[in-house]
Amino acid sequence: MAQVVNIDAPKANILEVEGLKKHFPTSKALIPGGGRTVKAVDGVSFTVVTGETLAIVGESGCGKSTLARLILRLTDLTDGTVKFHGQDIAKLSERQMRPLRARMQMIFQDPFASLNPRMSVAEILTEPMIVHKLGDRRERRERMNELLGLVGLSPRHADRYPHEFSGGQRQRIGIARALAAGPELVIGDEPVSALDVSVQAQVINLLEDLKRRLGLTLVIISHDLAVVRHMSDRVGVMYLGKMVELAPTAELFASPRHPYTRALMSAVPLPDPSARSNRQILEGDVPSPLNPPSGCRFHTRCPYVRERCRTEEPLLDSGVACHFWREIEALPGPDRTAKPISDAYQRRRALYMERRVNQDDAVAAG
Amino acid sequence: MASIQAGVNDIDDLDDRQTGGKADAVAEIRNLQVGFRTDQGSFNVLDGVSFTVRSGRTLCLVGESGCGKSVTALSIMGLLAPTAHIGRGEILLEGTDILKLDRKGLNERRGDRMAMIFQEPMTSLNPVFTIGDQITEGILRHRQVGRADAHKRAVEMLRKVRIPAPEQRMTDYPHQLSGGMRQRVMIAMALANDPRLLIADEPTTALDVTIQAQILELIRTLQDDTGTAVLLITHDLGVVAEVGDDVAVMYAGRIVEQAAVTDLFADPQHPYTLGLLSSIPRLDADLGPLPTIRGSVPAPSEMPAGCRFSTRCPFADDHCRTEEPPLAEIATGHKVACWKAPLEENAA
Repeated sequence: MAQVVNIDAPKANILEVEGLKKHFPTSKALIPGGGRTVKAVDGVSFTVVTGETLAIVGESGCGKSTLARLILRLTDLTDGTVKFHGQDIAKLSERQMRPLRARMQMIFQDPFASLNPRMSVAEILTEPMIVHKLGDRRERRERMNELLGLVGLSPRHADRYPHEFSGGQRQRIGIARALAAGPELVIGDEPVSALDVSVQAQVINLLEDLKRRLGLTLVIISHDLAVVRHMSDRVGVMYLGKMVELAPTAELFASPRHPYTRALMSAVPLPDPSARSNRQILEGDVPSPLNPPSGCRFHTRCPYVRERCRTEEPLLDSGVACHFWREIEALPGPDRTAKPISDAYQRRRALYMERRVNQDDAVAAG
Repeated sequence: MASIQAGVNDIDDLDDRQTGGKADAVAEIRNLQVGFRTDQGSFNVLDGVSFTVRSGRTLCLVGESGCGKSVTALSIMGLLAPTAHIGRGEILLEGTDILKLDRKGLNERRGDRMAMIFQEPMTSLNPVFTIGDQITEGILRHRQVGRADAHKRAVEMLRKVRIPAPEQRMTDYPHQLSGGMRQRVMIAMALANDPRLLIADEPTTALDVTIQAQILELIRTLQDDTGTAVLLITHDLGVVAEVGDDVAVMYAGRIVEQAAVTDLFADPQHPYTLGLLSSIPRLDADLGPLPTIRGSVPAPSEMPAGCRFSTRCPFADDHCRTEEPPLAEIATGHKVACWKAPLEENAA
């Protein structure tokens, strides 16, 4: 059969976010300096293409978790639009919103806090199906067993309670719950941050595998640039409620444009002592979102700051919100290219991976 | 120095003699065993841990949750919970076995000769006292100085940890500071009496990555000035590579590999070390699907016989499952506890 599929054909956008804002008023009575607003998300626009993984990266207080909650309408927005398959969800009533909720789901960071300790795994996994009126009792039971298998657990786990599981297993349960209603879009808010590295790798592989098998679209919220590089197709970098850079992953890591992105990359310690270097270390703290700096919000910490940055806010253009990115991009950036690994490590790593596959095969064979 | 004689047969003594040219040993942990009593019985969470922290050097203890790295730190500081008991072993601080000291002797050293900073600076500072009060308290406790001099020293420490406008900050309460600033205050407090040993338990884990870079840099600069020995506890091999001189990899209460940092990364021997190194996603390269370590750490009540990693190790055989491998030298200064090391010879 002739290949008529045009690979350049634009894919549909599953999500379109335009001028999104979330402002939280602070209480006058309780907080000194209250009565003002925290601009947690302050004018963010982006789209998510069906089937891709978009990562949103940034440090505490940059608004990335608020953004995740706004997309799912777990909190109401202050201004802007969030369109899911072209439909503006901000204008929907709670009743109209309900059927959409089955199609967009969330995986939370803390597998200890996000599972109800009084519900068995079976109850946790069937509840979304009951809420969304999917299947009858028998079908739900079948689907639950299928979900357990999907995330690498077994049907014998169904009658246990969350406290009987390790952190990694609980996160698998959280993932299975998110998949229970058959979503198209899954948002992971720091889905692997609470896990130990060896377990983190298992869960990352699981998410990538599920995405491929179920044709999911993923939005991953993370503070960990290495995880983001590994999992995503595109990356948005946030700072103090603004998107400062948005680019395809390979491009972003090859040539970061925004000074903040460059500083972030430079700050991550690499697991390689030969990469120890005179890193560019940002001075100071992230300013309070109660009173964000004028102009470019990064100007108080930016090593390349000029007068214009203090007064005029740069807009996201060519994937970067910086007045001077063209000049800065030309400057030598953080050297984060991999050094060749030693022969000894390479040899043993290969040996480890070979044996590791055998180990899995042996387990699968029983 | 009376307690040195207790461990004449200890391997570490031989090492010290062979490497007499090295920096002074500030703290020596010898064959430390710590157990916890629970409803289900008593379990060893540390099982024969030995290492030496030397003046001006940073030893990193690296491992995952529950491997015993924090218990090691708390044992040294005498801060273990009442349910824990030290079965055997010695903790020599500048030659004195602090396990044999009474409370007074321990209190004289804590906060003076040795000090500790913790992961969460919000919970380790007292919210109802100003940071000035909290720093001067430690100085007054250990130094024969008046309030004015202690205040002066506290301001000097805040300046050293690069807190802007230190005089004004003295009257701030912890909640008025950012996470990074609080950790700087903790460091100022810990270093106020020039300790010989600084224990830092995941000092940057709760901090953002740009702040982490500042704090790691700060600890390193201060160490260069004072020659303090640093025991840094972390789960992050990136942090180890960035600031460590020496490293001990812990798994389930035992040290499985110990080496100079450059040697560990260039010549990793233990299958657990290999698994850890390979399973981290890399900022500097995308190497495809991540190799993982099978399963998870066994509960203390279900520790296997023999090598504790044998239940998860892709190289394990019957020998590994029955007999515990000793932590043996495989190259100069590089020790590994694995019957199969080097893997290419014994497991290929």
